[in-house]
Amino acid sequence: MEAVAALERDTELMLRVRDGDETSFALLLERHRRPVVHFLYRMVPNQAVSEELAQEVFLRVYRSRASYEPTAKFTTWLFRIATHLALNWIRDNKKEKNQESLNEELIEGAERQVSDGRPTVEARMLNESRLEEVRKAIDALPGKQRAAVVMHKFEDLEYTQIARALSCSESAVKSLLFRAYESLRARLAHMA
Amino acid sequence: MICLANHREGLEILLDYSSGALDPSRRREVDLHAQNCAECRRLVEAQCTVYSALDEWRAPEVSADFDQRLYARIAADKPSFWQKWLPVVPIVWWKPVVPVALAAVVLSVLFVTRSSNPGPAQHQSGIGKADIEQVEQALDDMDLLAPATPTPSSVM
Repeated sequence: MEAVAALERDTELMLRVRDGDETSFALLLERHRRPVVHFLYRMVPNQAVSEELAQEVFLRVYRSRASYEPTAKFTTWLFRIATHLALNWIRDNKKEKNQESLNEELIEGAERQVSDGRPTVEARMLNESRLEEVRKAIDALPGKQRAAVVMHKFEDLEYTQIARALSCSESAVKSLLFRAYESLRARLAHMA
Repeated sequence: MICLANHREGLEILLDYSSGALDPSRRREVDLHAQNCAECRRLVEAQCTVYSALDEWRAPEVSADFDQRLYARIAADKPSFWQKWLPVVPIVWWKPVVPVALAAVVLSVLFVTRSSNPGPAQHQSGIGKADIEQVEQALDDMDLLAPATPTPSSVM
């Protein structure tokens, strides 16, 4: 019930944005900023790029406010835009992003650990090593499989929503997820 | 005993079971099945490992100036001429425009062609009378645009 009310609220807010209410756009931004940035971060593991893409998502939402029609759930529409941008970025930056993003996150992780005084160097290195394994495993997935897993695992989207975001059938989404999780099970089995 | 891991519906059940998304009664059924099916047990254990590993992957917090930068981009984003006007004009309005525009072009060409080759009387009688005759000629030419076959004398 609460989820349904939230979805209806999103539609109501977006309709108000269509009618020129800027405050409603700010409320939508407040509600969806974090999930969109986090989704994009898991698709293109680089904080700066993920925020840049997330801003593009909201910019496109704002730009198309005049023609908004509630034909789908607002979150579905939002993640459809985000997925499209992420897949395009992955396609355009295939070679460079892997090394740059992993190096950046290792450095950021080390800085975070030093600043908050975690106990042992070994524990920090082990933690970073595990995170790197997870990132590499996700990064190795083809774009659509990656998007399906991130939306399914981290954003709790239903199969129908994921299907609309990826412009495919629900059956195709399940196939994407089965293949993706099969790959992840193979790569991450040693982390049990 | 049918192994759940060997077909799509079963895989979906096992994924939901591993994430704790199954309702209690369904969960008990899978518990009983997994006790007797090694393959399903292995898959569930591996899938739980995946879910736990993914849970460790936390995304960083959004930058404090995210909204500020977004609003700056929105302020700088000015629509192009076409973006500004096309959505306002319903697409249905465009449909009759093309044939009407085409007819206007044809008429204009005929009109200009006729007016560039005036007869001697038209030159002497002044602009007004020439205009009327040209219009009449243009109207005659319009009739020639109808499906009926034009006569050789009217063809340009």
